[in-house]
Amino acid sequence: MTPLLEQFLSESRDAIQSIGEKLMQLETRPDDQALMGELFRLVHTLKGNSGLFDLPEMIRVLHAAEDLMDTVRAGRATYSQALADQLLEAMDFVLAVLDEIQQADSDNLPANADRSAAAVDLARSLQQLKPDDDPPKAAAASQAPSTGESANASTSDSTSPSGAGAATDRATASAAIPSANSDLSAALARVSEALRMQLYRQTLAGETFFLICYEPEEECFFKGEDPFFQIIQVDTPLWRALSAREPWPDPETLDAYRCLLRFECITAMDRDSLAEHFRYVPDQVQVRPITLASLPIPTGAAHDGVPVADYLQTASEQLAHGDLPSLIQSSRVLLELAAPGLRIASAMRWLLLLLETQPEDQALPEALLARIRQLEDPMAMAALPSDSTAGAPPVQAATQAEAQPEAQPTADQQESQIPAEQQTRRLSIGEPLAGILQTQAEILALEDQPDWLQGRLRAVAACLRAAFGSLGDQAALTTLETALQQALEQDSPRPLRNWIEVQGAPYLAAIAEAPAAFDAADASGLSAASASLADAAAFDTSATPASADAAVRATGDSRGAGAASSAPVGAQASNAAGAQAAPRKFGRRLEDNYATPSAIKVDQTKIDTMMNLIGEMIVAKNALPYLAARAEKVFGVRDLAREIKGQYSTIHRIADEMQDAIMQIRLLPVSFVFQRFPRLVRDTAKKLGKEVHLVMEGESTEADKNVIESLADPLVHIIRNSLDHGLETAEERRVAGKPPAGQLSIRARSESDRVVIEIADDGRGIDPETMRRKAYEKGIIDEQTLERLSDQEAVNLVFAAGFSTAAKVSDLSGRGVGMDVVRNAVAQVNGSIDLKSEPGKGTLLRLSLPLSMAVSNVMIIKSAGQRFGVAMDAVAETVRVPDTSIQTIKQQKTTVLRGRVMPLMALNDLLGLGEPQVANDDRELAVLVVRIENDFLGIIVDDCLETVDIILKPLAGFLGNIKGYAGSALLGDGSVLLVINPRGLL
Amino acid sequence: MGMDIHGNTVVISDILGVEEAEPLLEWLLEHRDGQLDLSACHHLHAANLQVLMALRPTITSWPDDPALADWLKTAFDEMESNHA
Amino acid sequence: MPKTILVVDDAATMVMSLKASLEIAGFKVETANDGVQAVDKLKSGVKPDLIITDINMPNMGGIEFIGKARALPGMRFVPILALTTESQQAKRDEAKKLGATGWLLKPTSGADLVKVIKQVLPGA
Repeated sequence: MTPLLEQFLSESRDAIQSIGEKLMQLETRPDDQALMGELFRLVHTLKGNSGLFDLPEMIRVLHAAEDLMDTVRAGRATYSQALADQLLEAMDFVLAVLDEIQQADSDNLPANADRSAAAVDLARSLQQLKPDDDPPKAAAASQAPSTGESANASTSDSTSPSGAGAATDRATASAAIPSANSDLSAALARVSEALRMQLYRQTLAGETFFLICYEPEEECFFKGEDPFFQIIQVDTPLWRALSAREPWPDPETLDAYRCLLRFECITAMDRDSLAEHFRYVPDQVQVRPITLASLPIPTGAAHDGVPVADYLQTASEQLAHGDLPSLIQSSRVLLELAAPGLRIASAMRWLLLLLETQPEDQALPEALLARIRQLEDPMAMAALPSDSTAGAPPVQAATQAEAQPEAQPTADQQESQIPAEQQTRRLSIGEPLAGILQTQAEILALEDQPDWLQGRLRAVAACLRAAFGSLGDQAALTTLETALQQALEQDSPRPLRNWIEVQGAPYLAAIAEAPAAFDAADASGLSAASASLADAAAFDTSATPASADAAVRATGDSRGAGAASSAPVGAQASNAAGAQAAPRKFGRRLEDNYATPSAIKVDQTKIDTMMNLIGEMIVAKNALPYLAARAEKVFGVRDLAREIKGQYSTIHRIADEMQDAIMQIRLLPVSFVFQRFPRLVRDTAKKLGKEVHLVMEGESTEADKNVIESLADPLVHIIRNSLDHGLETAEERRVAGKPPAGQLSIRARSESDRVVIEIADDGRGIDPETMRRKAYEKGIIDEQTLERLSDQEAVNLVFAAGFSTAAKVSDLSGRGVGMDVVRNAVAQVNGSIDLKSEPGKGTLLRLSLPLSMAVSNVMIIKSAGQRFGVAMDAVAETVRVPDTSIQTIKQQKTTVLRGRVMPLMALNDLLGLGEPQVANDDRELAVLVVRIENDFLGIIVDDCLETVDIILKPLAGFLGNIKGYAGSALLGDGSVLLVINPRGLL
Repeated sequence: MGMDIHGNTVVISDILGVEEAEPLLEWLLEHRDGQLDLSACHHLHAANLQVLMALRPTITSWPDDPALADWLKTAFDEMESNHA
Repeated sequence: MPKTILVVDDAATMVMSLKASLEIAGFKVETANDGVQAVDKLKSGVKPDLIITDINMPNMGGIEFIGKARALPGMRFVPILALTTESQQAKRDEAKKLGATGWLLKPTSGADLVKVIKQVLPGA
């Protein structure tokens, strides 16, 4: 596992834990803003982190959760129990995914239909909790904040402050006319005629150019911006201008850090790239597409005596009659008459260019003629500024042509383009998916047979899996896996291609529709008599990007195509609805699953390694006394023996302290288990319709990690039992004269080397009479026992295997396991459990567990010539029993120890060693008295030897299933000691 | 790195950062006939750019980097035409 | 000389991921877990050429940190990128208003990250 993934898992678990806690706290303080903010932050962080990995389902759910939390935080939705439930469920889901990752040891999880369906389902449930469905749209729009909006904002803005005073003045003459084009012409008038003609030809050939005007705000330097660096990164500007927005102040008073710069340039970069490039400063940048109509601007000196009026008269008629040869002829004559530097000469060059390149189009030449008329007419001239470069006002005809379609909202070229793009985005799923499918189909259609074909197939499948997974299309995912398997087996892309054809059909249909729609739009645009300038412009924009881009945009333009491609979206919805109807299998309750406590930021395995190493060191250390003995006895060097012993005691002390220190690291507070209880109690109580007040104490009590972990399951079971069977409903309690809310308390404390945990409720308690009767009915006890059983013993019957006190089995505690399972789990970590109950008053369960399981004190025994260990915890005493005191009752060897009958069993029999036990010279047998629950049992061995501290290692692999052994340990002399688990032997 | 003053000429190398705009402005105010050698300049911050545009010192060599040189020349051309 | 980048985020996973990507790209990386730590770092003499900061953090969030950082000597003009998600348009705008240069969208791949940095940091 990569360190990043490890970090992610650990941090995510922490976050989920905290989210759970915060939700619990919100339950009592739903108006706590700080708490809410914190909760949002946690969800947000979680989502942010998961984005680093390929976890589409998790991100989907977290995104919805974050979205919801945001609306709650902003006060647009209110906190409710339903909301908390939904969020908790979402976190359970995330936790389940995290577990999967942990298990798979990779963030690249195989597709899982259940998982993706659950994600879709959860995300929808979360979304439904939001007050309206407005926000998701906003979120979708903000995904591409720059492209549409900003460009739109700045273009439509172009008339206002920066748009040059002259333009506004002129615009007043025809109030309703958008000055965008004229403004554009004014800006372009500074571009050389040669370059403009080049732009005109290239635009006509289908290229798109933009005029950028970037006016950084005055204080931009204080935001870390370098506008010059930004503009310099614009690709290959064809033209550029750099100026100051206001005249430079005196050098002495110049403030270097008040930005007065204005950058302008013309670029062939596409609009999306530009919007992306200037995404941080969209309000300071105007991006205007250069239209054909904005380019033919006659520039140059005013004319002197060229017969313009006559020319205009005939030219207009010739144009109107389509007599282009004559018009060209007369224009050439005028061009020859005029000096090349004159404005009229420039106008003629433009007119000839227009007629040459677009003989079918009348609008532009007409507009140009009108402009000449306006410019060269002395009367009109008087009203206009004489500076030719600043001039270039809009032509009347042109502006009218523009004004006309202005009435229809989409006619203005810039505006029409942007809503179209937005529309495309709103179509959302269908189109990108179609694109993905098509691309994958193309990849699969490649006919080469590379060595990496298998990898390619897997990559395609991964892509498709992600795509369909995001739709929550379970059926598709299942068949996809099959197709992939087939493809891999056959070493051929065919199965996957077939799959795409079948599964992708509805989506691909949408995209097939698009080009057709585009053609239609195109044709109508042309046939609607390209007489109007606006039409020409519209044609210009929609036709230029002749690539796949065009298809996408055109779909947006055409409503028919829009409807067609919305079909898959609907299909997806119904799919998802189907998923919702089916019971969710993937969901898992938080309390079912105690993930390893994650606050140990050091990898557990590292600590375990340390633990193992110190264990080995202790063993190695223990070899020193043997060495000393050998030095003295075998080699006869007493001094050396003494020195070795001296060294040994030093090493012994250090090793002990080290072991202690390492064990300290493993200590965890019980809160790691406790912290889940508020949620457990809340959920369970809610399901049972009971009111429960939970009290927890001593959460900081520490114990070894393994002990703490082993506590989790028993405690959950006990709590469930208390809630289900112990505590009464509010009604029952009221009748019994108790407060309606039941109290459940969980307390932890240390007692010498043990941890004691008490779970108490003030419920109905356990009635010994009922217990006796039930135990008898179930055949757990016989009639005699029934009579003899004390009340306490009767109550303890809950621990008997196969006992369930509840009249009916509920889905909460009655999961086929009883308190016997709890008892066994506790016993496994050398713990004990006892129960006190008073009918009508409540029940108290006390668990007592060792602080640490790391070091065990065992007694070494001998049997059949071998040495074994037995945990001292289990050994009550060792006695020597003369073989004469052993009787056989009902084939069971027994003896009487201190007036009590005690059954005896031979270890060799228990272990199947097939040898008789050996008595000592006095014909006494060594008996190990072990306590199992409250009974004593004697185990006959050959001899009892010393006790030692060992580090017990559970048996690994299939040996781990052998119940008779608790584990093994290394002894000082290097030999292995098998440690017996007496309970498991029986 | 930044500004190196050789008599009446400032040699700009690598990147002239935003913090250098004020020292540059001061130096140019003190040396109204000061010259700039930009040949080794890879980029200068916009704040420096506007100091240059406002004070119009003589540029002895333009940057080797063509994109930067084109923009800077534009800045100076524009001023010429504005002042013409 | 490698450029120094200060990464501020309370999510250790995010910090780890950014740090790795940036170091691979040849940057020197300093990290802080929240605004308070980041301000301390800056006061203690760390002079980053660029700051990347998360917005939602305990103790001191990114918005407040940006304001505080700009007031520190030598930090007036340093590019600051806010680490945000798609849905945090409002936060982005606020950060921008308070002196952030721009933003990075979470999650961000190593290549995207370096691309954005190269766009705001001359000579990177």
